[in-house]
Parts: sequence; structure tokens; C-alpha cells
Amino acid sequence: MLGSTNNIGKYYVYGSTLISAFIVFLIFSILLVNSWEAVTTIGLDLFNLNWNPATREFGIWSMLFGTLVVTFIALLIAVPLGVATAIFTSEILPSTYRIVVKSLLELLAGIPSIIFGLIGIAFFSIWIQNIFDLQSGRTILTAGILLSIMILPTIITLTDDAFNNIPSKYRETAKGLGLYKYEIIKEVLLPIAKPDLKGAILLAFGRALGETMAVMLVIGSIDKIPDPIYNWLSPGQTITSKLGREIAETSFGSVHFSAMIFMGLLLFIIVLILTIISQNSLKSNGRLYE
Amino acid sequence: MNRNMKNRLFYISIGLAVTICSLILLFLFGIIIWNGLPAISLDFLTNSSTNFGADGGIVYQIFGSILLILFAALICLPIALGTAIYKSEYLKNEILHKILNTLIYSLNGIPSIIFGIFGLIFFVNLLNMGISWIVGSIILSIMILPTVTLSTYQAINSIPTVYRESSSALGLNKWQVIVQVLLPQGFHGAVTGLLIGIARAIGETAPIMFIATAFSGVELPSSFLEPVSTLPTHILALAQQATNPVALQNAWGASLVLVMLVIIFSISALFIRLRHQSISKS
Amino acid sequence: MAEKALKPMLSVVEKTQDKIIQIKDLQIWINESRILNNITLSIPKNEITCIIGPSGSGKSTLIRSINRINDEVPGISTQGEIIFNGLSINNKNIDLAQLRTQIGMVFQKPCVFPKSIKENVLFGIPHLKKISKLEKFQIAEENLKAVSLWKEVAHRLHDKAISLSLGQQQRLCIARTLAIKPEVILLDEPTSSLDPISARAIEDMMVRLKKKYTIIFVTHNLQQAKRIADNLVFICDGKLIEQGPASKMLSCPSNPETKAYVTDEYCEC
Repeated sequence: MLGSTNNIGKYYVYGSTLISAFIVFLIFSILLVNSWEAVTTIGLDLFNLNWNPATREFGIWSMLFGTLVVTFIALLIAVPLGVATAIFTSEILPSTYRIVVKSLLELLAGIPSIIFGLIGIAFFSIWIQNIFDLQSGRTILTAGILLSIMILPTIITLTDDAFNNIPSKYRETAKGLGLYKYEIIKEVLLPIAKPDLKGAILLAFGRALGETMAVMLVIGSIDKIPDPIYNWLSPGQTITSKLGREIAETSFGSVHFSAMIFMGLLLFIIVLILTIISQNSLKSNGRLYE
Repeated sequence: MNRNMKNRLFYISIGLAVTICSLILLFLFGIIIWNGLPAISLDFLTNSSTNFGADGGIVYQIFGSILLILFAALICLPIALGTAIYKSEYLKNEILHKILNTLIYSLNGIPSIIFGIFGLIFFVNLLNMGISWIVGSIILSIMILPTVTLSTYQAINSIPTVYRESSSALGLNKWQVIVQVLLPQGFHGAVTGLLIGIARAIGETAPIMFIATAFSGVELPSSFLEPVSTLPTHILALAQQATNPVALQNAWGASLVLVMLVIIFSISALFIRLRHQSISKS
Repeated sequence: MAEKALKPMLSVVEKTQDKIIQIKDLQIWINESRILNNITLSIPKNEITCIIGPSGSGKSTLIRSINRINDEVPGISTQGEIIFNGLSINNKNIDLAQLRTQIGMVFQKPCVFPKSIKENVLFGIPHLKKISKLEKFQIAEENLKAVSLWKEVAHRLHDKAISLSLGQQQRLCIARTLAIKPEVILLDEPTSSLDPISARAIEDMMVRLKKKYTIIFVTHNLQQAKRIADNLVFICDGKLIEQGPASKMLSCPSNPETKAYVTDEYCEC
């Protein structure tokens, strides 16, 4: 009797681990199988410019471009802002206030992305429209700015942790040699924190690539590369916004559906690679709480 | 330029960044509260929505959200517990441990819209379950699985070996040690993980919007295989009619309610974690 | 009459000239607890002053307030005055980085930066002036020789500093401090985490270095203080018990508590 509960318990934990482990494989194979038709029938034309289901053109290039540009804008804003703020919270702010800042950041990180979308529609896109005198404020830039705010807590929290993990002896020694604070940060702390910082940025990069709701609501959803391509004040499309807008209206099993899933697969693979690299450089576990 | 000047400049730029971040924080919470509060009333919280959500209240949306996360938690918990126990008590092989870790972190990193597509293909179409709230619960349970697993694992794994050894010495077999000694002490980890996971899952829109929800005309589901309406998808529907001021006001009201729910779950998680820290210290 | 008045004044001037640092009524609190209580003492130039006392007596806090590295300890408050070269360092407007290049410091545990040996020696200098490659090499050689490390590392200056032994790392830290050419070197129990041979090497080095520098050396090892000190400062429970030339304090201390400490390393205050 005793032995049998022991065995049942063992089977239970083995079973649940197998389920946990194989979900990732299941998701991957489902995506792969369903994008196969697009790969075989459309082939390299998937990377064309035009997306028009009516003429059976499924070029994902403009979505890919939109995804990369929006993420680039987000990182361009959030990385300097986030790292500078993290330097403040870890190196300048007295440690008693740190818990307050951490809680506020956790609150900020907890705001659901749909609410960011609502705020984006109600404020950001209107501001962009008025400032640049546009017909519509739903642009690539709007999405990038909104996204930068959304990844800011991730960058601040992880960078703050990275700086806090540096033993204070390095700071004291550098101070003892007559270095100013900015010299200490630039020449001692930043080099030591570099791997963690890289991990933080990669993780934020992955999050930004996969963000859907907020981007979908403010980007304007036009499957075009802006003309000229640096005109980020025009509407665009990302992989996620495309999927969010169109997948429910696509019939399951069609080439159109398959091409959509192919984009999902692409996004899945990119984000997975980024996650694995960043986990390896962050090293610390328990980082799932954000 | 001398060093002192550079140092000043450095402080100024840091100060600027901090000011911007604080203003953003203030702005976000400010407008959520400012716009949300006037929309909230007892009627709003207890009435059903009418006119495609533009009028009326959000009672069924609140119900739908709670239903989804409740079942997500119920589905997730046994699998997360099992995985955490295996990871902490059975798995000795370093390489397998690394692989399992990578898989868990990968699952955590997958963009939420991908979960939605997966659910759409696998559950809604292949398993032919249709658009139903239980599919939403299953998908959300998969999303929070890594958080709950790791939180439980950390709680169980941090129990000193002495406990395992002394209870084995009393003649308990491995499973009895786990059930009678480790689980009672490590269960708070699972609860904390669940609360954190739920706080995240309740605000998710992308994974459930085309597999579990309908935008209007939904009341209480009578079976597992019916769609519900939830707060985030309701906000999405209202946000798309941004030109209608009443709809927009309802969207803000629903947003404030949603944020409050998120905060309640996060704070309970924090509370449990803090209480357990103080217990284990004393 | 005039002569009489002049004499004590002259002696005061004389005294302040060879006293490079003077501490007046220094009190330090951390939150509610008083760490240092009315410390008044002076440090003579180009000599080794050892600060001795049992652990927890406030030795480290005292030495760390001389280059104001204590400033950022949470909850700390300081009263009193420290005068260095005739100027008060407690002035709010003082440039701390500047001060710390004049009063260098070596810490208890060797702390090398994750850089090469050579980069570590030169770490503090580029901020002070632009230097050429040749100069860099010369500075590294000069200072590594000063700490007797040159022979051991000359062939591998570009190796990571962390690859050195702890004793070598600590000597590297001293070389790094010497390279910024301070007038005073503060050493906070620099040998306590080292083996006896490395500790001896550092002691010998201190005796050589005092021709060029004023050295303040905190130690809880009385034997060490006996070997190297010109002056002793005895601190117990945050109070200055006695200070004076080492020979006098070790042979016939005027205070019974000092006597108990230097003979039995026992202290009842």
C-alpha cells in the first residue's frame, strides 16, 4: 500500500513534467504544420512587399519591417531612459526608498496592455496628430512611443538589480582613488553589469516584439512600408497587429490562414532565441515575476 | 571640459530621466483614476451591458474574467505542483535540469498572441471545441504555468535537507515526505505564484480574444463550451468606438476595475510572500 | 613679556606644520548609536601612525572619515572638524574626488577591478591627466616596484588582475593608490585577510614608504603595530584613550587601560 502511493505519486510528477515540457514542442509543431502550406505554395514570395489575399499575394515584408521599426523606436527611447533611471534608483537614491520604487514599477508593469492601448488611442495618437499636423495620429511612431513606456519597467527593474548585485567594495575603492560618481559608474560599474544589462535589453526586446494589443490599436494597420522608409509618421503594421486584426476573419485551413501562421512561427522563433540568450546572460532565476 | 563639469552634466541627465519616468508614472495612474472614477457606480458594477457595450454596466464582464482565471488557476495548479516537485525532488541530472529550465523560460517568453493562435488551431478547430470559455481558461493556465512552477519550486527547494532526512529516518517513504513535510511548507510558493500569474492573466486580451470571448450579447454561460465576455475584450471593443463619448467613459470605468483587480492579486501575492519571509526568519 | 607670549605661539605653529592632519572633537553617530565620541588627535607627517583597539571600537569609522568615504553610509551624522594641510575637509563645498586623490585609501579586502594588472595600477590616473603609452608603462613599473610586485608580474602585465594571489592583489591595490600620488595613505586593516608572509611584506613596505608618505594604519593586531608604528592611537568603545609616540605608549603608558591593552590585549571600557 505504501509502495503504491509512492508509485502513483511518482507517475503524477513525471506526467505533469512531461506535460509542461511538451507544451512548447506542441505549440511549435502546431505552428510549423499549419504554416507548411504557405511555405510550399508561396515559397520565397512570402518575403514580398505586397499582402493582398484577393490576388493571393502574401508578402510579409511590410509586417516584418513594421515590427522591427516599432521595436527599434521603443528600445531607442526606453533603454537610455530606463538605464539612467535605474542608475538613480540603485546608485543615488537612499536604499530605504528602494522598496517604494520597486513597488511602483511592479504596479506599472501590471497595467494590462489593452489599457495602454486605450491610453494610446485617447491621448498619444491625438497628441501626435496635433503636434505633427497629421490626418491620423495612428502611426508607427505612436506605437513605438507607447511600446517604450510598456517595456520601461522591465528595463529599469533588471538594470537596477544588475547594479545592486555589484559588491559595494568596487564603489568604495574607486571612490578612494578619487573618482567622481560618473567615472565610477562609467568605468567600474557599467563594465561589471554589462552581461546583465545585455540580458535585460534582450528580454525587453523580446517582450516588445511580441506585444500585441497596444500596438494594434495605435499603429493604423496599413500593410505598407512607409515612403520614404524613414517616414515613421505614417501608419504601418506589425506581425502581432496583423495577426490580432485578421486571424479571426481568416478561414481555417486556407493559404491565407497558413501565411498568417507562418508570420506567427517567425515571431515565435525570434522571440524564443532572444529569450534563451537573455536567460543565459541574466543567470539569475526567479525573473518571471515581472 | 573639466571632470567636475562632466559629473554635473551626468547628474543633470540622470535627473532628467528620472523626472520623465516619474511624470509618465503619474500620468498613467492619473488618467486611469481620473477617467475611470466618474464612470464607476453601483449600477455600472451590477448591470449588464446594452447597446453593444456602449451603455449599461459590466457585471458579466467581471464575471467572465473571474471565471476564466479561476479555472485557469484550477487547471494550472496540479501540473505546476507536479513539475515543481519533480524538478526539486526527483531530477538529479544536471543536463536534464538545464533543458527543463530552458523549456520553462521559453514557455514564459512566448508572445501572448501566439498562445491565442495556438488555442485557435488546436482547441477551437482541431479538437473542435469552438469558441468557448474553457479553451480560454486552458490557454491562460498554460501561460501562467511557468510562473507558478518556478515559484513553487523555489519554495520547496529552499526547505533545508534536514527536514527530508529526519522524516525519512522516521520511516516515511519519498512520497510521504513530499506530501506530509515538503508540500505543507512549500505550498505558499504555489499560492504566491498563482496570484502573480492571475494578476497577469486577468489583463490578457490577445490570447483569449478569438478563442473564448464574444463582444456582446453574452450573459452567464450554461456549459463549458460557450463564449463569455471579459473586461479586457470589453475594453477592446469599446476602444474601437473611441468616437462615442459614452462608450469611451465605460471603457475607462472597465479599465479602472481591471487595474484594481490586478492590484488586489499582486498585493495579496506580496502579502503572502512577506508573511512567509517573516515566519521563516523568526 | 613679548618674548614669553611669542614662544608658545611659535611652538603651536611648529606643531601644526609637522602635523598633517588634525582631528577636533569628532563625533559620529549612525542612527541612534554613537560610534565615535569626542575624538581629538593629530597625525604627524611622514610617520606611521597606527590606530589600535579591539574590534568594534570605531577604528574603521575613524579612518574612513578622514577621506570622507563614510559620507554615504545610511543614517550617519558627523560633528567636529578634520583639518588636512590647514584646511577643514568637512566643508560642504569641498571637492571630494580631489580630496581623495590627496588622501588615498587601501581597504581591508583587496579589491581589484575586472581588468588587467596594468590597467588596475593606472586606474586612477587617466582622470587626472592625459598620459602617453610610454608614461603609462613607466608609471606602472615605478609603482609596482615600490610595492615589490614588479618582479612577479612584469612578464604578465596584461593578465587579469584577479589571477593574482590575495597578497599580490593587496600589493597591487597599494600600488594603485601610490600611482595617484597622495600625501596621506589610509590603510584599513590591509593585512587581516592575508597570510603572514604577505602581511610581513606589506609591513616592510610601509616602513620604506613613510619617507614619501604619511601613513595611517588601522590594525587590531598589536604585534603588527609594535613592529611598524612610530605613533600609536588607542581607541576603545568610540573613545580616544591615549595617543603618543609608540615607544612611550608601549613601555610606559600613562593610562591604565592602555597598559592593560598593550600587555594583555584586554580592555574593559
